[in-house]
Amino acid sequence: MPDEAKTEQVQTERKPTDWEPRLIGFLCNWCSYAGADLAGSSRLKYPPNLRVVRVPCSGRITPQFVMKAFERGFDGVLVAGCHPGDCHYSKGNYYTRRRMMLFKRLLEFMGIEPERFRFDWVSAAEGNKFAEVVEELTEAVKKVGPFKGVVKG
Amino acid sequence: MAETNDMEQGLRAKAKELLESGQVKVVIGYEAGSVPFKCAPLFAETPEEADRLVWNPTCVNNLAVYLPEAVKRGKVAVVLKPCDAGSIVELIKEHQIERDDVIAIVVGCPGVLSLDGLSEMDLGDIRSIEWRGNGIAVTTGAGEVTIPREKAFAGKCLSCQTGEPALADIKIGESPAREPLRDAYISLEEYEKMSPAERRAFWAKQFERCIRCYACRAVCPACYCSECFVDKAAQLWVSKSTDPTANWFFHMARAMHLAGRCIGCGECERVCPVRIQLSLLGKKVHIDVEDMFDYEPGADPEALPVLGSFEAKDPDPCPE
Repeated sequence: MPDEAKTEQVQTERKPTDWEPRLIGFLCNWCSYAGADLAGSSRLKYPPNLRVVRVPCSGRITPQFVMKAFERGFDGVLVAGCHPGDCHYSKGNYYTRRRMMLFKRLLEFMGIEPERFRFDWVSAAEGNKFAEVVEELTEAVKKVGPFKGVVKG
Repeated sequence: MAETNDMEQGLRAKAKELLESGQVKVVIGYEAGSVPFKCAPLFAETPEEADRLVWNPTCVNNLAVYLPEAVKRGKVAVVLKPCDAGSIVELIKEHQIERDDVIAIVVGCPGVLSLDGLSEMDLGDIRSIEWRGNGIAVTTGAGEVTIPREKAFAGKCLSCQTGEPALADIKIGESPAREPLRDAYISLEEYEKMSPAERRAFWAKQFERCIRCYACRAVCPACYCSECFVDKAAQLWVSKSTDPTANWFFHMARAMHLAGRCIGCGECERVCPVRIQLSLLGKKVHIDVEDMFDYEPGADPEALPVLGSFEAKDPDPCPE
């Protein structure tokens, strides 16, 4: 879809509600954070719900980061890194991939809706993809509603 | 069962031989406990002490937990059930012990006792417990009672495949070949029928009971970290309180720390004073590790740790 049409779609489909999801994103410095920065400098419109935590490499992110976010009441969590093969430190993201793909299953097993956790690759050139990912995560979390707690109904 | 008396005799003889010859400094095994339905760990350093070794249905403990400390004093022989042998594989893989530090004595195992199963029988004045037929025979003041394996044995024994142990220097006896009575993952099938909200409520009830005694951590051979993440105070990962959310954090993080390292000995669940169903977590992670990375913990000492390695073809969040 051409960029202008995508931006328009983002602008028209968001409706004001009382509750806005609070999202947190752990982004690797070299790819996904740069991609997010590109989304910003390109003036792409995407939901403002995501708070960003920059890490040197997605390999720095352990399940405990994600668990802490949910424990503290974030409605959704994004973990993003460089595409496999493109890691600034060669292989950090390969470890992340095994770790996060496994952890994603455990989260769902424990009763945290899978829509709340997004693990993806965003390169430094993928400003559009970053905006898209945040848009999709925000919408998905809106559908499942406010997070009531890791062990609350 | 005459055969299992032979195993006990064979074990004692072997242990004495190892100590007399100076091959090992200590033989870690089981001895009679302070009550007839429990055993105690034995650290035999002389042939006389080795005569106290026992091998009977009360020998439930996974003795591999003692190894990282024990090998610091010299070469160690340890008595292992076939299911416990996998713990040694993981300890070697992670360089907590060297292969040459330990002599693994694997005993043939018909199955070990479940204290829950025993207490349901409401027997008084228990004198001794031994294997008999497919189950156990309990000698009480009033006579002998036999209990079939479905009631007598620990849950893990009922789904045991009795295959070859992953590692054994010495084998004493053979485990009887028998069909598992139930699937190891049946509890997961039941659990997965629950909705996300039901699952959260399930764990809320479980973790309300957790008193953070860390018995599960203490008994686990894979939990050998000198500083556990819950002990940290400067970077406080999780509150030290027994709030269910804090308990959730502890158990979730521990489940991931054990991912691909837990061999399913079930000790954590056995020792939990408040009966938290920890095996559900362990089994879920185990089955996912096997499914996603084709990896079996405790099987191959040469294999790389599963979360410490990777392959190009690993499952990907956006497959091309």
